[in-house]
Amino acid sequence: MRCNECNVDLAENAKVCPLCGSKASDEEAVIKNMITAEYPEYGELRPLEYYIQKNDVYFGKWMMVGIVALSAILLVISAIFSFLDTVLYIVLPVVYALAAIVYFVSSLKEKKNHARGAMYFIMLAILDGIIVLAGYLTTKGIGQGYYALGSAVVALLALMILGGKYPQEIDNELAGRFHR
Amino acid sequence: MADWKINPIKEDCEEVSEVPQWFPLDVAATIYPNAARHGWSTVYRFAFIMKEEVDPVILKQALKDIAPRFPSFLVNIKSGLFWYYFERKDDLDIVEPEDYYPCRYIQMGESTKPAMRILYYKNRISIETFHAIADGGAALVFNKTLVARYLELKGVKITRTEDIADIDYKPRKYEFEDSFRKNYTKETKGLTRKEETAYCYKAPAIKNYYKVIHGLIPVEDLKAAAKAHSMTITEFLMVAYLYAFYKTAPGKVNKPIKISIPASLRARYKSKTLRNFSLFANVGFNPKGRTDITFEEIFEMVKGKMEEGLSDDSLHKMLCVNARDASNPILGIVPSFLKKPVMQFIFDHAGENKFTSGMTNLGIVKLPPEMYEHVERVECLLGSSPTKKILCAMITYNSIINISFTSDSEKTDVQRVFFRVLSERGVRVRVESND
Repeated sequence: MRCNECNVDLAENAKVCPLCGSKASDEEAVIKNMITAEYPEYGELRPLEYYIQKNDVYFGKWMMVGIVALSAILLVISAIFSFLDTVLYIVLPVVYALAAIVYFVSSLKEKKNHARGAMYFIMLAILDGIIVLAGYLTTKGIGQGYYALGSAVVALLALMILGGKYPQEIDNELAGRFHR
Repeated sequence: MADWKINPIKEDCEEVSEVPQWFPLDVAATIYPNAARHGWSTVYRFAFIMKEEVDPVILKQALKDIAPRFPSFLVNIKSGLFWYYFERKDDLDIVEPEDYYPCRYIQMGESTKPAMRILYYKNRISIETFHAIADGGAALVFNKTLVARYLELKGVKITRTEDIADIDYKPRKYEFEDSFRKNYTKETKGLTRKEETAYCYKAPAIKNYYKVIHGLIPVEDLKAAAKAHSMTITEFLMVAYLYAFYKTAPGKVNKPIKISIPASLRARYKSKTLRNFSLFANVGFNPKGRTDITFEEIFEMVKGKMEEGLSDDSLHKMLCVNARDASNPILGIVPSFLKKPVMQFIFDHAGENKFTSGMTNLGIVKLPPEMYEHVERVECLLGSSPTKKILCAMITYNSIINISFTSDSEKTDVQRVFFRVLSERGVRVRVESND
């Protein structure tokens, strides 16, 4: 097949020229012995979601985003209604401790999750550390930070247990995340 | 770009005893995950058109067999606290039938699979790779080795030549090397990214659509036509491409029309890395509102610019700029989530807008002699870009140069002018398309 408008050979099955849209002419190709490399017939255009692998979306990232957002909202509300201390020193550490437990259980339950929560234990411990520091700076003592301290211990203990159980996986995960 | 040999070089073949589970991105790769956005990542494709229909079972086995030899390819990208990094993936379930447009989105991060896919349809084996993993020159080694192993499993005896990797050997240390960092010298004079913004070709894009137009041309025809104009083949094609943009511009053009021409750095720096190691030069001319410029005049305007842009000195300067910026200690302490939008902005406004389109030449594909009887054709396609509406890649195999234009638009005016310019100068062209 040929396109006389563009003066080019076309594939054997071409009906129109892909360049100009003219009807393909049933003439012999100028370049001999070429075979057409066919492409599949494409169906309907697919939505982006089709390409995204759903089976490996780790909940941990979204839970962490949720925890940070919840913390911010609770802090703002408690500051407005004057119960900031309760939220900061009791509610948030309890939430963080519960989150650490959820990460821990999920790490034990599924092989692919063994190490994936490693970074989040550290993040939870850092959040707890900030609360302890805030308590120390306001009272010049550890007084208000007991819950947060306990919560940090829970997170770090969970990480230590996992580190002992799956040392290679945890080490790899942290090495990659922190570029060690 | 296929300018180096992969097989054992006896004086320099230190094997990798243990392949790390994770490793950092090379300098050139840094931009790709940062520039990626929801639904788009930089993907390119190599395709081998076989003389017989592809057997997917054997293809899967071939991938399994070559996987240990290419650990740096079977990786995906994860976000660290400060930078992205590669994590090895063992799930090799990436061989699938081709049933959709080429170079579609490859998921980064939350995936059990490497950031590449292998597709088959009738006689075609297509390998699509996320650009952060390797550049075209390195990927071609992986792809040729995969096809060689596929043929071996089909009973073809393949001579071990230096064109493919020997899978009986372990990976080499130099294949993992970040050659940008290795060759970086702390020169500061004359290092700049300043460049004039280029003319932007506009075409209405269609979501999830990707048009491919292949132009198959005998090399002898191109040689003769280029010689008649006292040009090299690359210059001739570049001028034809610039001319096509110039002729299809909707009005007077006052910005330079520039084509980005990548060049492999391996031969210049004697590197055998299987990661990214190429840079580019943006070459073009400014019509300054004129509408009567001829093909020959364009050549006179760009003459020497390509040599200058791709000279050792220019490329070394660019290598140093890139390596210097990637090693910036201030950038090193900024968390990834803050860095990404900034780098995305830089990609769009300080990189992509400096050229009108890209035109990459992968050079001549050489295969072991027995493979020529089984491989009909080789193709290379560039994946879409958020700002470039048309891209061009070319590769030569068996005395035929395959020029492939890819676009997320149905518009074909540039391609039409380009191929007509060629055919008007006595070049025989065969055009095929996926649409």
